[in-house]
Amino acid sequence: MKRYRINLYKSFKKVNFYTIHEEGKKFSETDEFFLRFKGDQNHVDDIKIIKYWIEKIGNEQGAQERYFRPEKNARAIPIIKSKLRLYCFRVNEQIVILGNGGKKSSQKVKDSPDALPHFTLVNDLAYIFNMKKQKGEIVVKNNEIKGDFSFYIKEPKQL
Amino acid sequence: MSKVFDSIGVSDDLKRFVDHSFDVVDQIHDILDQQSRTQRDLAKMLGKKESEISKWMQGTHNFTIKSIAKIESVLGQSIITTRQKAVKSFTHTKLVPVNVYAKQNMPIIQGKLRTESNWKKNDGDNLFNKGLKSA
Repeated sequence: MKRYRINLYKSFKKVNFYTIHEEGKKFSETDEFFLRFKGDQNHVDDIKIIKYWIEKIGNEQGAQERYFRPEKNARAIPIIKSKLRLYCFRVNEQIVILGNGGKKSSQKVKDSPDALPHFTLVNDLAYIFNMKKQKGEIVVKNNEIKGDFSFYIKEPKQL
Repeated sequence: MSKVFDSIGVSDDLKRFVDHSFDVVDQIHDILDQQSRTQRDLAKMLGKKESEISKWMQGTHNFTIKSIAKIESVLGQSIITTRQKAVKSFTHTKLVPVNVYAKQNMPIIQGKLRTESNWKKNDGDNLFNKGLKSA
């Protein structure tokens, strides 16, 4: 069983980006993604585009649904013509929870071992977050999340 | 707050690329809204799948001039304009006479300013500022 916590990652004028952090780990899931790929020569530009896209959404555009790539209950930050995916959960136009990501090497994510665990984790988060919200354990108000920020994942689910 | 995120530098050309891509998709979105159309309609007009259009509209698509021209053609409106074209369009804008009212039926500006030459002849700037001050 793994225990995670939702933490604020970056705050901008229009959007607060949160991240998920596994207990006992030095870096958040999103930092792990950036640290893993920022030195990868095949994805140097992709990482920079993702960073600037986040800033642009955060400061100017707002997290409008149409800017995100649907990935079951989760979303991905779109990098056209690249196999790199950073998975996230869009709560509303002012809140996005960023996860981790990887290289999608096949048409279906279930056949992409590098991306699948991150896709699964953010989809699990989306499910748990919505359950907690329904139960009133989490309250979303404008660009803030209040309440119980911790959650457990028992084992990877088969999606 | 993430120091890792802050440590990633983005070059000016990549910023411009994302800025332009967002500008184009927001313009397309605006035109579709004005025409009460959806991305699905645009996909049909272009003979593409809706999922493909959806990918274009996410702010990181590298539009070609040819694809922009096709979209402009089916929508019947320009998506991009150059500075030179913008200057040409806006320097030929006609002045429109405006009355400013502080109270109903009490015009502050009495002068009729119909053309640019009239504006200059009648000291329009002064009259306008006076009206603005009174308002």
